[in-house]
Amino acid sequence: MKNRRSVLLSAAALAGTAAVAGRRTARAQQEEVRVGVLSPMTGPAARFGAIQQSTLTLAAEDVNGAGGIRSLGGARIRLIFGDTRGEADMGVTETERLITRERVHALIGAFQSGVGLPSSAVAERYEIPWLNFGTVDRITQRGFRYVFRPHANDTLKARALVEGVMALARQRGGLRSGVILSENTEWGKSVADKQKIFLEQAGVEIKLVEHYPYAAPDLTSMVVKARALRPDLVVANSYLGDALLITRLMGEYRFRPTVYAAGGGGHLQPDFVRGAGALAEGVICATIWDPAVGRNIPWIKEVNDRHVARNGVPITEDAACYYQCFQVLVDALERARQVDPKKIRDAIAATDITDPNHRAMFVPCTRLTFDETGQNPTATAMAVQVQQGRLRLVYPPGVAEPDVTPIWPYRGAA
Amino acid sequence: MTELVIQGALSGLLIGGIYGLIALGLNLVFGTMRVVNFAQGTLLMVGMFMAYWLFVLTGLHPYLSPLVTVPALFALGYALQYFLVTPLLARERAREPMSVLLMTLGLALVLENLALMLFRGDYKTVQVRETSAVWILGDYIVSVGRFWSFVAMLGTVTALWLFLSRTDLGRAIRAVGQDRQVARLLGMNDRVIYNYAFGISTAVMGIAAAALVPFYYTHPAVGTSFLLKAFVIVVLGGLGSMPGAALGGLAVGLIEGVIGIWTEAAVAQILLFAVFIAMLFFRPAGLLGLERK
Repeated sequence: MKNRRSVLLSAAALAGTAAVAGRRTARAQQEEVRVGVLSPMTGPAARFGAIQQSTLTLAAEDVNGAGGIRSLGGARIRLIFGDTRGEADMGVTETERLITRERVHALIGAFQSGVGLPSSAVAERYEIPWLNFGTVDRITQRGFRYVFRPHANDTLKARALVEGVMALARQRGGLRSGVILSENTEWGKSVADKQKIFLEQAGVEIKLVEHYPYAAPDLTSMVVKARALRPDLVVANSYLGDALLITRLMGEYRFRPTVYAAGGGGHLQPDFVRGAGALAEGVICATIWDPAVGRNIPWIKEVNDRHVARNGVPITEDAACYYQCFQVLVDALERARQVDPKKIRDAIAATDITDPNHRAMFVPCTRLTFDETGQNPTATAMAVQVQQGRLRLVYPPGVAEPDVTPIWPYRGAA
Repeated sequence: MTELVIQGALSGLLIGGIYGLIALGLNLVFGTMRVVNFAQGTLLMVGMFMAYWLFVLTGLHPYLSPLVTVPALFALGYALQYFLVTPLLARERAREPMSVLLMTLGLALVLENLALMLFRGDYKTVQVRETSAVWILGDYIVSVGRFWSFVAMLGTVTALWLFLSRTDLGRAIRAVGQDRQVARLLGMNDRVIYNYAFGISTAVMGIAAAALVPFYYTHPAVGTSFLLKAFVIVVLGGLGSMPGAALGGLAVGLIEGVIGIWTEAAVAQILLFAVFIAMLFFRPAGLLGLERK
């Protein structure tokens, strides 16, 4: 105990001297800004972590190459990565390490909401700003002062999906009834509740909400039962395996609702489109970001093209949100004029961006601000549709690809 | 509603065939060695990856994959028993070999993580004619892939039953299962017989894998949910009984299918495990299991 306290004290002392030294040199010479990044670099989600890392590296090089943070005398940004392995306890340990040992000035993380929830609490305790990627609403609803989310949470995402589907349906005969098939872990349950509320507000009668067991060997009964209700709309919230199973069963049982929509998750992944084949055609899915955004916004296309040229893969939904978090931080650093985490926090809280060409608008919204909980209230999502094995952006109008015609109705394999 | 229930029962019975096949493998090992093989689901996963890669690399239809996977898995099972289980079993004095049980659990974790390392967490699927094919019988729809898995189960049960009752090796396996000491006194080499039993139980996973791959997805964790079902089935049908495993599989599929229509898939799961506990309580030998003293 004594040991730990003395370590903490010396860490605090170190941080103190660093801060003083920082203040002295900031105006005169270059200062380094250290940004901690928490991602799953190993484990089942390592694929995602790799793209988050390459996207942020690109972003940091751009900022440093253009002269660093001007208000800090051209300070360079140094990214320090922490591997969460996708596990909550590793996320907490790595967050502690980045704060106490690497003495980062701000943090970005952590992909899985289950990791972000406890890790951001560590950042809050040390009063280090935490820019969050992770959609679970609760992350910004704990009365924290240092946690910010510039992109959509689950509620905003569910609303965007319902708005998108209803807007497309309006010119095509509307939708009267629907069913929601959702996996029974925390994500599936919270998303389904919100979709039900928004759909009912839009005048759609919800005939069935079923929470099926995650990774079940068979879901025939659920699909058969849903089909018998003859809904115009099916909304599924599934991880990849279940998404494949449900879609194939819908194909086998000739279950073709007018609209087959999904809340995200498995239906967005390339393995789904590959595995479901023709049955995936026409599936409409909510997403926070898609590379197709670049079809309307040239600078976004330029960033993504460079990422593809360098890493061979496009930027993903989650990596785009990491990019946005990073740019929000850069914007705040320019205004903070110092690297004191408390001042950076205040600058982030005062963020107000409306210029669509601002780099923090990589994930587009009308106005980027933060409410008292740290959530960007105007953050939204978009709808993509599988067309010829590719995801095409179909909603909202300003973002949708100009040459895309929605597939309507869902045809299944026929 | 009646139509729905019949449709649910039909599809439940068909998927019950797959459950039955996995329970069959589990039962064979338990029936001879009194060991619950926690790696059974993972061995199914190994079979599925073999069938998947055979299809991708050589274009071999998954239904023909047992030609390769059954001998390969038999060899794997034989080797596992020879190199891992037997040495442990030899050290165990107690009748219920605890360390072997824990070893199979460890083996399952090793194999699963090895698969995760080799093949990543991607979900692999194949597209063959049977993938989404159905037969329409009046008002009812029968999935072709699930139908063939049902046929495969019936065939395997019959073959195993004939093997166990008509051949010398089969009788020896049963004899060792009934009483190891007496079998040994009668001149049987119980260790070699264990090797065969484990090998056959693993080989059966090749058949289950072939039946599953056309319509299901292949993933390192795919065996877990099937294994849980297989435990329920083994207890329901009777520990060590081959027809019991088949019958138990069909019963579990039927319960899931019908209850899933009336209520929810999640409720069907709860009910299933309630039945599991009730069976352990009131009829521990299962429907067709022999009462042991």
